[in-house]
Amino acid sequence: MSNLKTKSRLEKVLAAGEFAVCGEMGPTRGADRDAVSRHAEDYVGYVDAVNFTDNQTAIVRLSSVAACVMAKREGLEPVMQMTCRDRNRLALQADILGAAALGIRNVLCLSGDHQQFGDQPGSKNVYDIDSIQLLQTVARMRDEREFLSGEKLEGAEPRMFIGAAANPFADPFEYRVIRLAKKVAAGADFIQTQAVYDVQRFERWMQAVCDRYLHEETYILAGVIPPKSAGALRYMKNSVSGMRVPDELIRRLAQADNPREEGVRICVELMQQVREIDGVRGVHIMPVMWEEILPTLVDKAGLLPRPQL
Amino acid sequence: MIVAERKPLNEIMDNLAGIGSVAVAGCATCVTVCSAGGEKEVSVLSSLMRIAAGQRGQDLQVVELMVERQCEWEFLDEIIEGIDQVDAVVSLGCGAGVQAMAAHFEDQLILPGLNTRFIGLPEQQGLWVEMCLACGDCMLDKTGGVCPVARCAKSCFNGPCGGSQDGSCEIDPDTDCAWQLIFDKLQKLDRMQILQEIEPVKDWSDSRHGGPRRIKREDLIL
Amino acid sequence: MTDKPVTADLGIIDSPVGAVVYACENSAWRAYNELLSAGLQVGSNLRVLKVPCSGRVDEVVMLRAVEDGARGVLVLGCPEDSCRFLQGNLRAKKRSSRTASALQDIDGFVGLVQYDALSGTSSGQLLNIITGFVDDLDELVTEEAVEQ
Repeated sequence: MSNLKTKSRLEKVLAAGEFAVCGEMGPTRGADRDAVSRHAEDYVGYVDAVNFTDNQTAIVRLSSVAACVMAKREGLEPVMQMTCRDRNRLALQADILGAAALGIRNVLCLSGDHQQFGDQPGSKNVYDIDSIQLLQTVARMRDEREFLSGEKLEGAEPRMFIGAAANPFADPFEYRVIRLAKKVAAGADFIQTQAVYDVQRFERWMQAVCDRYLHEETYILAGVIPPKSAGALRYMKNSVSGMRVPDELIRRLAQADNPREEGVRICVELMQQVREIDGVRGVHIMPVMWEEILPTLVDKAGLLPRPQL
Repeated sequence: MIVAERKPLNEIMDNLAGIGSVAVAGCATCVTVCSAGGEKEVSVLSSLMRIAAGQRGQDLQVVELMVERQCEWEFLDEIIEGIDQVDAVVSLGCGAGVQAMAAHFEDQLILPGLNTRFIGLPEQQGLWVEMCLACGDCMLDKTGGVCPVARCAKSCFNGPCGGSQDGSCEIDPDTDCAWQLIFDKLQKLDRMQILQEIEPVKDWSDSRHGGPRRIKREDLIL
Repeated sequence: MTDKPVTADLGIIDSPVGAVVYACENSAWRAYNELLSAGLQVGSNLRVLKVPCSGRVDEVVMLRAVEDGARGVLVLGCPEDSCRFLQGNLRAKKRSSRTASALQDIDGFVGLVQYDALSGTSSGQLLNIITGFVDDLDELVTEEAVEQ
């Protein structure tokens, strides 16, 4: 993977063999001009790229593409999340072109949380195409200069570094690697996983990934979420589908004198553990309403300074 | 079959404000089988309407009618007399039945008494589940006879999303993950290689998205 | 469940707190006869009707009783696991609650639909059930009258 496909900083870091660090930010629920800048100092210099969620958990927020543009102004490298829930193939392709023209160089193709979980449960979902088909679509626009219809692009192609999600903790386990292989075949340059708490299961999955040499065809970044409290972990275990949290971690946080400090320790340990696993090329830190902790996490995990490329 | 359920009584009664006589018309096909619009449901609804009308101080005559099949003109002719004698009709047919009646009885007010829910089957007595979205381009050959378009909450074409856990869909633990069912079935059939292939984007023009659909068979047209 | 029809003529129950009791002939009806032969009365506004199985009392039967003027409908079946027709009593229980909730949707409707179970030898229990039911119904109707 020596020839870079894009001008993405994330791609550069990964291609240089550095252990990458991504952050994540959920845009505000208002039209705030400082939606991104208020958290920028917690991210600039601490991460190689930042994901901007796309109506995460199906709750209306400032659009991902707008947040990405704001992030660029702050000197951050944005990863635009894009779900298949809210847009049909016309809108998706149009927004890919628009985002690329605005200088966004990374996209993460997702199915999207079902609207039932959000603040507009009565909405009509789209799911015209699925996340794997979206990957294919972006790759085709970039590499073949073609729309889904087969018609040719008429100007510049969107040079996007294309990402996908993977959840090693969902079922059926045996199918999770097959699905990853499909995503890679569809054009996923990088993968960000669901948050890892169950390191054993993650290792088992990574072993299967490496057995199929998928780690040589795509960059795999392990997801982590710093837990603030035992309650937060319990919530993730019981109420967030497709997440696995060992009881031992919940106990550890429940018994801690200072749960937040313990949460940081847990998260740092997780990052160090996944780093040791074959095929893992970086971490994706999702601070979920705890943005200010990000510098501490990156520092304590020994991931500073970030490479200047 | 088409599966439906009764509208809330108050909605039906609100639609009948100012009406003096009404026929409740059932249909002896799909909606009878799913216990929403058969003879028994006609009786129950008629009774409830009479009681509700009494409470509302409305003088409402309710007559009960059954049609063999509301969605075919021939059967509608059989109830023409009953229809002529009332001010309005509450149809306990599916959406096709209501519209057939509305078209056939040009001067009559035809109101829906049911919400038509889906094409499905009774998984057990008293429990109906959706099976088909009538998307117009069946892909059950590739998915072990389990439809991801209708039965996956996100209509994923290429495997389960990250919300599949212990066989259930993320939206509801009582709803099976369609892709878990597909996976299990294809494993039994030893046809797992199908799951490795990327399913290309669907042509939704065969579905509702191509506009209202029609099928024309010249050989059958008289 | 038996196919034997519910033959009872519901008649008109024109008293203000009319109630119909559907009594399964294998249990409640026998207990009722025991009460009568002991010289006990269960209330004057009440009609007790014999049915071949509580499972025969479907929504239509219950609603017709209400249409005919009854404010209360009490369905009495056999104890669980002792329905002669296996599940008639379970069906009756579920149907009564479905009917009760359907009636609850009617604005302004005041009435009571309930199911209870007892054996044929429990005449004392029958008296308690009916008295309790009538008291609850009376209370509802009185409340309504006060509100008006």
